Amino acid sequence: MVELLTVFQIEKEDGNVRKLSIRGSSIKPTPWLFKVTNDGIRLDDLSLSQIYLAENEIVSLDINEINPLNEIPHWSIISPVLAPAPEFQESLEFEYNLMLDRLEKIDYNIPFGFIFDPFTLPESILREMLKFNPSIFALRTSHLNSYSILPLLEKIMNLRNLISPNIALYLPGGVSVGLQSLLVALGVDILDDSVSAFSAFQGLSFDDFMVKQSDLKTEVLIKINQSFVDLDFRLIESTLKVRDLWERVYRDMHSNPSVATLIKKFDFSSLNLSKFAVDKKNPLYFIGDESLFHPSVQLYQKRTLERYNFPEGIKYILLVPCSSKKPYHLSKTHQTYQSLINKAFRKKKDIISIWSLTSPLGLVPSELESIYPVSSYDIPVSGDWSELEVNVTSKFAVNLLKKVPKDVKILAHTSKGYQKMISQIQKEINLDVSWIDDSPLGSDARSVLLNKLKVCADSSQNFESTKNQKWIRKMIALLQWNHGSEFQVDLENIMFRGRLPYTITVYQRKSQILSWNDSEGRIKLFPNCFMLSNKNSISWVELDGDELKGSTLFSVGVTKASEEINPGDEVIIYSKNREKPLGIGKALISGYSMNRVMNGAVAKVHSKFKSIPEEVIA
Amino acid sequence: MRADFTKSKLITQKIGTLRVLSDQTRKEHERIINWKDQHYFGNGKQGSSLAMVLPTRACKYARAKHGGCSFCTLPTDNPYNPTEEMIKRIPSHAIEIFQRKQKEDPELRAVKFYTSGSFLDPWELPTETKQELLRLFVPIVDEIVIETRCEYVIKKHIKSTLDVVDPQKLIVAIGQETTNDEINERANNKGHSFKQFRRAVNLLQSYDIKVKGYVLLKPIFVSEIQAYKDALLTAKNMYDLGVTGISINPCYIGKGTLMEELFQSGSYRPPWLWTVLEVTKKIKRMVGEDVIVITDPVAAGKERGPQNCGKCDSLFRENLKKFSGTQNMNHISKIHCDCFEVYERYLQVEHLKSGYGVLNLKSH
Repeated sequence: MVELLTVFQIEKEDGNVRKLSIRGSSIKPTPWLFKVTNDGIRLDDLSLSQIYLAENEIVSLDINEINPLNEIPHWSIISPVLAPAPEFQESLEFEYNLMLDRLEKIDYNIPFGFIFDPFTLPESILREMLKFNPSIFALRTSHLNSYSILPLLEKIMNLRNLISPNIALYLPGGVSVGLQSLLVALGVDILDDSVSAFSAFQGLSFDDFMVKQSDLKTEVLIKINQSFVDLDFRLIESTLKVRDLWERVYRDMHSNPSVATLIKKFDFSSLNLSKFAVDKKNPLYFIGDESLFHPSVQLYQKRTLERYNFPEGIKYILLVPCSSKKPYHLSKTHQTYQSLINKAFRKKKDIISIWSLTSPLGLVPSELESIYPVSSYDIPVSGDWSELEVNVTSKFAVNLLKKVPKDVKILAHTSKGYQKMISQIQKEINLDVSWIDDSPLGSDARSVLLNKLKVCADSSQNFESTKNQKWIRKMIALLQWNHGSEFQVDLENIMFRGRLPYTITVYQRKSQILSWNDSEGRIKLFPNCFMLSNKNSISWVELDGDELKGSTLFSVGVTKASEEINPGDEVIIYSKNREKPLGIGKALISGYSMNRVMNGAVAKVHSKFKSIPEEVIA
Repeated sequence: MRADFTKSKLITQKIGTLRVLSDQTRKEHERIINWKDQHYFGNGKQGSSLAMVLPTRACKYARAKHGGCSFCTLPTDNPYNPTEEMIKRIPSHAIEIFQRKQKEDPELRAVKFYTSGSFLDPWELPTETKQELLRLFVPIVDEIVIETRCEYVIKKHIKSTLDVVDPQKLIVAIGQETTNDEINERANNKGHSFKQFRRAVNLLQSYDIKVKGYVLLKPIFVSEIQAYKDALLTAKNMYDLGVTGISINPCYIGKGTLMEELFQSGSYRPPWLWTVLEVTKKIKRMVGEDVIVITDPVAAGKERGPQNCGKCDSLFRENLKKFSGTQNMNHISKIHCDCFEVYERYLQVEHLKSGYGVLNLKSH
């Protein structure tokens, strides 16, 4: 057997959606929609062969070719000779083991795939199959019918966790329009269009992206279905270029009841949030309750609870409604709140912080307003919150507010629509509600709030804001958002240059330590900063050597990576055993995937550490 | 080595259990089930034949602990333990039926003796009875077709048969099913290897006896495209051995079989009639005029038999029958139905998707 690395490499990762490409090949990156015709299963120039290994020969399932093959063809899907029914488990396993025994005796050096049935085969067989480095797993879903997709989704999720992220999953037979986006979102890389014909045979039409019964003739339905399956897939491809695929999934659920059922029943907690990109910019539209479980929402909440440290010096939090303008502090409403704060607190204004109540994110501290997706979402404003929305968002808000020190007073000044949420929070958190009615910025409400703020300010000890207090708090929050709650920066003698919302550069003892792009909510570290705080970051990659070459870091050189790294995170690159820092870069794929892929780029290096400047050490 | 076949005995245990149960339903009787078919004699000569299921005790192989072939339901047609006297009465009973039918149809010039087992097995049909039966038919037919398993194709049984029949009149049909030993061993539980078949064919040919090979289309655990390909390969291997007839037998769901169990649990679907048609066409083109190719799908268009969309099934059934009786390709070369587009895709994808023929596809 020839050792061959899986042919795909991850070009882009966002959750289970991965763009898999083949280095040096003209074949376009995944996702792929194979065309199934009487000529076989094809994608442009790529043709999928189906073969099995007989006792002494390789048999192609090409009905026009009678002779055995001399070698395994490129892009073959290798199957066992027989497919015993699931009730004969031992025979089933025997067939797969026999296939592997025979494959071991053959020399091959080509991209190939295996058939694998996640419902009937044990993980032990999968592990054996992985030793052969397949590029594709074609999923056999023998006993599934069209009404039992949910268990399939669970199996796909499980399988995705067991196999390398640069192995493609192919679901033969495809799925109907509307479902394709969900399957791709969960990690299926290849589908085919044969579903057009099978659905037509059953009298189902995909016209207008809806799955409906039709009286049209089968041959007419096939054409209609084919065109909509193609278009649906093209829309998925274009969504992947510029937007978030989950948005398309949510859109599809509103035109397809079975997709809606699946989304409602799907266990979103099974998604590995560390695989979702954090450097996105596209706007997110959170329309229905399903967005409460959107991966970006979950990721925001998870990271906030794990990484956000309540800033020192703050004695009051003012909970207010979110604004449609992002970041919130640029909105008229938030500027009004801020001016009332300034008026009441004057020099002590930095002891109070505005936090925004919002759905589906729950609650946003002001320091995190510019991160994704807080800076990029939109919701319909009806004033009415569903019961689920209230429960989910207030649960997160309570958990976040529990991190607030006991001596910090929490005020709430909101519109009537937030009443249920505020009541829910009040069950566990002590809130001082100044207004919860219509027009929270009407003259009456403003006056009530100003009085309340004045009372708070008067009862507070004198407080002198240090220069750039807010910026420093925000900078720390954003650094910790990326590098973890333990990440600390020496703040002594730091200087800010520039003006928000433009890029800010931060200097310390004449050396640039970081730059800060607030519109993206991202901070870029420079080695001088990183030298002083390097061991505390949870965003690290370890190499097997002690030299960093080139501007791209490839998986072959990586021995280990922190699984806290999301695609788009800044990473600190170390030598073996994390003895010596070598550079700083941006993760192209998650730490989870870095530990599991066999080839391809994993990070872009933007700064290399050559020597430690004396003044930094001093 | 990862694979250990000795651990995989559940299938034969299951077939054995099912066989015991189906044998319990067998009733003692002397009835000879019979039906008439169009028949092609070769060299353009057409006529008709009478198939007769002789009430022997049926296949001995099926009585073994492993239960015999996974698809075969034939023994249930036969008595379980007929007396010696009952067996002795078979020749006279059979000739009486045949002569009656021949009076109605003078074209009736061939007889097919089926025993739900092996005609050449003396355990089923003692040599004397066999000879008596053949002796009665030799003068009134042009062709006698008998069926047997390979292991009974031995010189002794051949000679005792040829003592009473001219080899030119005799056709020995062997249910080899497939020349792929793996399918025969692990799916069909056939107990025949291709080597045994080759030996049997060579031996029969050495006595100038014509051999017909049975090709089983779509055994259990085999996908549609695999079945398609296997039928072609099997037919080619048989053709290369010099058989004079190839009978394509698409699977149907026989009662009390493992195939029925799998069908009921959703793990087996009989072949498409398109596969039957396409395989028949390709085999006939491959073997030409030299070899007679027949297929007469049992239960065609029914739920338990080979089927298409439901609209074209009867057309397929009739035309395949006509082709078998005439060997005229016109009957099977111009059939159209829009379910072909579905079938084509099914053929390409089903092996990947399920491997044994289930897509829960039902035509609207």
